[in-house]
Amino acid sequence: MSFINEFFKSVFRTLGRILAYALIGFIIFLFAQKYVKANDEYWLSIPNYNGNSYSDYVNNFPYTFNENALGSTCTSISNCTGLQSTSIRLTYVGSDILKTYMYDLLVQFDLEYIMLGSTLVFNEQGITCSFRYSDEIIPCGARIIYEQVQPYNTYFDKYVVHVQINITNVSPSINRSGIAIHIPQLSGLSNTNALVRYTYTINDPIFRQNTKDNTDVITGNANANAQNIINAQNENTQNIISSQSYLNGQLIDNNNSNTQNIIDNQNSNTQDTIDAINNANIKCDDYNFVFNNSSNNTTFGRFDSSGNISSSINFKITDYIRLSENDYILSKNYNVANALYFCTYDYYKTLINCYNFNNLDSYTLNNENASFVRINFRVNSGDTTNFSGQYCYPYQERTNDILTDTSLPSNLNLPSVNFSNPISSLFLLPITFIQSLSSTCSSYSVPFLGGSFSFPCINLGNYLGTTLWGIIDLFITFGMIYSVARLFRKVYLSFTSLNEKVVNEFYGSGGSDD
Amino acid sequence: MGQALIEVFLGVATSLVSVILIPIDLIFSSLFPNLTSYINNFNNVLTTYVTPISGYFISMLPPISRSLFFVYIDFLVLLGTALLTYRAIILVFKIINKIKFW
Repeated sequence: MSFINEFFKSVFRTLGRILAYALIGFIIFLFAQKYVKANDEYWLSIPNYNGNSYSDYVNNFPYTFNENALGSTCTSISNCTGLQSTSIRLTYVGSDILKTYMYDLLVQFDLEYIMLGSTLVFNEQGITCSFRYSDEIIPCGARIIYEQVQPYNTYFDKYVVHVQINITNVSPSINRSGIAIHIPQLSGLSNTNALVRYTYTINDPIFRQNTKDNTDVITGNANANAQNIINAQNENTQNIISSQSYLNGQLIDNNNSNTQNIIDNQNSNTQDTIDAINNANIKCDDYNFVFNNSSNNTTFGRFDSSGNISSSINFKITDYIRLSENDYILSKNYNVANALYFCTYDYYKTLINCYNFNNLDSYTLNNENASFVRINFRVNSGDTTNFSGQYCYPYQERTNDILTDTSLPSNLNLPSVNFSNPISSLFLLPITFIQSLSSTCSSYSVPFLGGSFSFPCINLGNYLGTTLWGIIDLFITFGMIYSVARLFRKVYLSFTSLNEKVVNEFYGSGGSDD
Repeated sequence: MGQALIEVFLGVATSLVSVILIPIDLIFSSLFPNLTSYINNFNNVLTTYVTPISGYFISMLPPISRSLFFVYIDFLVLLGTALLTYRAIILVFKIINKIKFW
């Protein structure tokens, strides 16, 4: 008997070692695979480096592959001939993309000033796609597999197209390279006032921004001109515009100390203005502005962090503010403006709509019901003012007017009532355990990694072979049968003695006298 | 059939243990809220981390051994639960016996 005992002990010990070594090796293999193999999750787009087709902007686009196709004649919204173009840039962070990858993107264009009742389709040129690393630009396949065609009945609408791109056999040495999809033209817009305001990929992690999920995927940007746009989490960009109210140019209610430094900022120093904008905590994609133009009629506009600028009839192309990803640039001819009002999107839309209906005069910039932040600045003629600002990703939903309710204390903790059964749950843990056991090969998602890493199901029989695995199975089975048999014997003996104990407990050691 | 029987036994054992421990649970929850919280956290940790990873490793076992292992574990748990329940009943019975209503 002791020989059998020792035999099974040694068998189990050996098996345990084998399993331990196999497990360690497998973990190493998994980690190695994770860092060697390219993963789709490492792809994301940095959208919104696109939008309308102001030529000055487009020509500065670093991944302009087909500049001839970008020949929009739109110099302002009023004389746009209908040729619109847009581009999407993707950034890849990884080390190995040797394989062929197909990527499906849902690209959404936010359109503004669409002629009511018009439809919008891509022309037959479709889209082109290029992949760039170092100084090389490699074409990649791209095709439109679905596009939405619908008549537009509002001034603000969305246009969705499903794009599939194909990247083949790119050098493994690429790190932080970029891919660009260029959509040369939108047709069906002849003589209309259509303007692509935003472009972004819907199925992108970008829409999980402001969450920690973003931090592990956004690590770079392929644009050599944009150095400081990484990890724009934008967590501090609370829109505080609505907290400001002006009446006849005077601030009548300033509840937000954070904006104090940008109010009535009479700057002759450009850097102060830059700081003022940066400290304003205005959501970056919602720089809705109104010019208080001393020499011309008041104009208004809207620009976002990628340089798109929209609206404004009396807005000459040479006068606009252009934003690259890290630069806000005032055009040299911009010296006529002496104040810049950042207003809410709603207010901006109101102005736009009023303007469209030639009713702008009914609104004044200093309307006490309108809320905006004013930044005064002075730009000498011929100056080019560079505004260094933070880069922000566009928001799918506009939350301009969100205000934090400060009437509630931040440390407000509502009492919680806890009806729990700690002891019974503690005693029932073994039952919970065996009920959760799976009789089939299962995978394991590591909980503290948010389920993002999981050990796959391992069927050792596939690695060891059926015969060897069967033999091992038999050994383990016999060992367990032996153990269980011993346990049964022990239990039997325990019950026998327990029975005597019970008899003694109830009837005394001498038995019953009745 | 065997699996169904085991599940029935487990259900009965779970119900019995839960019912018997209701007073103690109430006492713990009301008198020792912090301790209750700690116990709950402990339970959660075991349920979240230990149980799944144990299941994962057990699922690597060969099929016959795995089935046998389940039977073995079920038997152990049932036995432990039965003994626990038995002792609890004896304890309650003794306490009732010692209470004098007159």
